[in-house]
Amino acid sequence: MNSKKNLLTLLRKKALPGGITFLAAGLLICFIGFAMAHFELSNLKFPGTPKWYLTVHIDEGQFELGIRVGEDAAAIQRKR
Amino acid sequence: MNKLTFLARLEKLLKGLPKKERETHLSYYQEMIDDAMEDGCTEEEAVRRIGSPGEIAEQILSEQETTMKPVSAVKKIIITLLLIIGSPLWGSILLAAAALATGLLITALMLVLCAYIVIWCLPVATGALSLSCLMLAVVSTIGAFPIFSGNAALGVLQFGTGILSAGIFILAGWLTLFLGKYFISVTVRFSRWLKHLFTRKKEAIA
Repeated sequence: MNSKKNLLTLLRKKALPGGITFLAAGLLICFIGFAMAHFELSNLKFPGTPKWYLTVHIDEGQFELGIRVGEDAAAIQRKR
Repeated sequence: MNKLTFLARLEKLLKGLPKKERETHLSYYQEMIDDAMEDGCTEEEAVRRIGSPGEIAEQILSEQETTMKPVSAVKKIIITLLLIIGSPLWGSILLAAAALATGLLITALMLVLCAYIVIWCLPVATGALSLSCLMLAVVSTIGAFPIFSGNAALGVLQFGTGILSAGIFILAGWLTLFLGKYFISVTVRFSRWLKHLFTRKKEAIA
């Protein structure tokens, strides 16, 4: 019981620096990915039919983040 | 028993009478005591001569009952008839008052509900953000690997998005826990204040 409480306290203490680290690392990796595409949105298009696990969507020069399922995904596929 | 104690007890026993009438009786007995004292009696003697406050109050109240005229049968019938004839008027007023009271009660309940929703709005929003970021983090991070083969830059960008979402998930989750704890205490305090408000009103009515 006590060790569980200690673990929770430790997690709470580490949450803030951990979250910030993840945030910074994520931003850095995103920047690297964008640099790999030569900072051009057109170079980030997914070849072929978009999959459900694709979360970065670039449609007509617009950038969108999220999971597209059901009607949304079908509509985009028709558009393409 | 001195004069003041006698008058205080008598006043307490005659509390059921209208104020004006009660004051008349009290001043009458005060004068009686004063007269007896002027005649040479001591205060205690003068009070003893008049009698006990209980007996006097009983006598006054019994006289009061006999002076009250009983309502005659004719009068009762007239009152009943007037009540029946006037029922469209007082009935509608009564119904309107009941509807108004119900409306006010529902409004009060809704206001209380709104207050609870407003209190919990922030932790619920951060919780929803945390959950959606968790989903995005899982799908983006795992889904980035098959995307690498199609477009490496897009795969790296998606992987970065997944890590970024994981960071937001952790921060939003931490914020939700922190806010949840704080808002639980706020809700408890608000509920206590509401309860106190009603119990105080009840006490005032009693």
